[in-house]
Amino acid sequence: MAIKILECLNIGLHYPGNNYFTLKDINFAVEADQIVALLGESGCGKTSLLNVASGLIPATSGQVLFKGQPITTTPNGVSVVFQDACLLPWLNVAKNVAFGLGFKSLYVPKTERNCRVEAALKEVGLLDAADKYPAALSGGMAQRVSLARTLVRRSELSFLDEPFSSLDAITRRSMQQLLLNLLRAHRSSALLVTHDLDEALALADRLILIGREAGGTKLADWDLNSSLGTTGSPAAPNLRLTADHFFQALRAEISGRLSADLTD
Amino acid sequence: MSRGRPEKKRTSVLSCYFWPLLGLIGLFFWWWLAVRLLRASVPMAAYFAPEEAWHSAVRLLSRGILVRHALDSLRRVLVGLSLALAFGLPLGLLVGGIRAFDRATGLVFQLLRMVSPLSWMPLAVMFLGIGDAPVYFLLALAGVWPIILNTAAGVAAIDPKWLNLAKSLSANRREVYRYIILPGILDHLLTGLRLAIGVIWIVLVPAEMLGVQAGLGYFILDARDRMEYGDLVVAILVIGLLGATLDGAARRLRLKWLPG
Repeated sequence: MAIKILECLNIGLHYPGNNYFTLKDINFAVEADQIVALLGESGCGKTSLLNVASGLIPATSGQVLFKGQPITTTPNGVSVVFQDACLLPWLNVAKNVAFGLGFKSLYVPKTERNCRVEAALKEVGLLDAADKYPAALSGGMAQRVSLARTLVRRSELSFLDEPFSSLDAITRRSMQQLLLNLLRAHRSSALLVTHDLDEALALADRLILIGREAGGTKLADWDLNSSLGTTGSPAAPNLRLTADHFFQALRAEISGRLSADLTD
Repeated sequence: MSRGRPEKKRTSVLSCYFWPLLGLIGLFFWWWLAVRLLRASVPMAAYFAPEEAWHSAVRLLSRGILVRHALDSLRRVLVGLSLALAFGLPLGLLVGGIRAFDRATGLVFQLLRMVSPLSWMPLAVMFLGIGDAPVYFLLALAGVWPIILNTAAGVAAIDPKWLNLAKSLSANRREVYRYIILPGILDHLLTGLRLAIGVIWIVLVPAEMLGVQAGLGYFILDARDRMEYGDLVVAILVIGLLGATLDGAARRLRLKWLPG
């Protein structure tokens, strides 16, 4: 049986001031070496779920377990890639990548730090840009730096919040391939939030559909590996079939909500 | 290929030195002309002529008098600025970071900020005596407000994404301040420091008329009493020159420390 690296148990989230739950009774697990994509329409609570699962915000109810241990803050062994590359403008690329390695929670000696930074920059193809500042980087380069920052932490689990949504289609495609290669090479698990079904199909082993009806709830969970073999190109016919299933489920959820709204 | 380059360099040299120099020559011309025109009706105006100032400057510089007074003034500016920074930075961090503190101190700070530092002169002398201490107090009081306000504005302008990043990297509170907030507010802080230097330099001259025995403010009063009006004009010029130099240094520091 595969080892569960992350478990979300009955997660509920209520933001103060709202008269509804953003997330309601969500249960899922991420297994070792698995990439799980959270999908859903805008405002369904995908990013909130990622923030709860990564320990950035506490859940109102339920529990998050990382390697079987309950967490309240972001634990070591976990890294987060944000929608925005989130680089610090006063640090050059190398220092941005090394950022956090000097913190008390994960102290890495300076020589070791430099080695890790060099190796990570080499992996994302930015070794020549080590001395550049974020203002001089393109969107794709900035997001590569962000990925390198994840690599140096040698995380077992990465949380990816729509990391390529601000990139153009061609850059996005190459970044998706780079991410997939890096995750596979480092045998790292990932929880990916995306609204792009093609991206989810290209990267993930499992798709989880989050619905907005009555607070964010889990609508469907597809294991792509068990039903389809391995993940591949989004153009493959069997993946298209999954896409059709996905859209049917999403359409059913939206039309159900619309008819409920009309009845009200 | 390189045809455009020398032209660009020439343009930058022109804008860097030519126009400011032309402005200075214009200033000296108007000064000279004003003295010439005034001399007919106010004979004393002749003492304030540029050529008188030139003779005084040569004499004062050759005897080292001017340097001694200027160094005393600069020392006071440095101490006043350090005190303003020592109080202003933590207060600014508190105002920008803690909403309740901001609300509690907002009115008090606005009220105190609007009082001219020179109004505190009698109180400063009464409680701190005569000498450097009341001058330091007045200078610190003048410089602390721009530092507090700019630091607080810098904290408020910190990108929440940076704080989220720090959180995701398990940074503790000290690390958040050291690695995110302090570098993040540097631009605002340096702007505050530059404004503080300007205000402190302006307040310095009247503050040095508070019974101290050296400094450019003292030297102006002394020159007036000695009726050495050329010396007085030189002191005014040096004050302007040093003020502009300090401001330029603060601006360069900002450019150096802020990449991009």
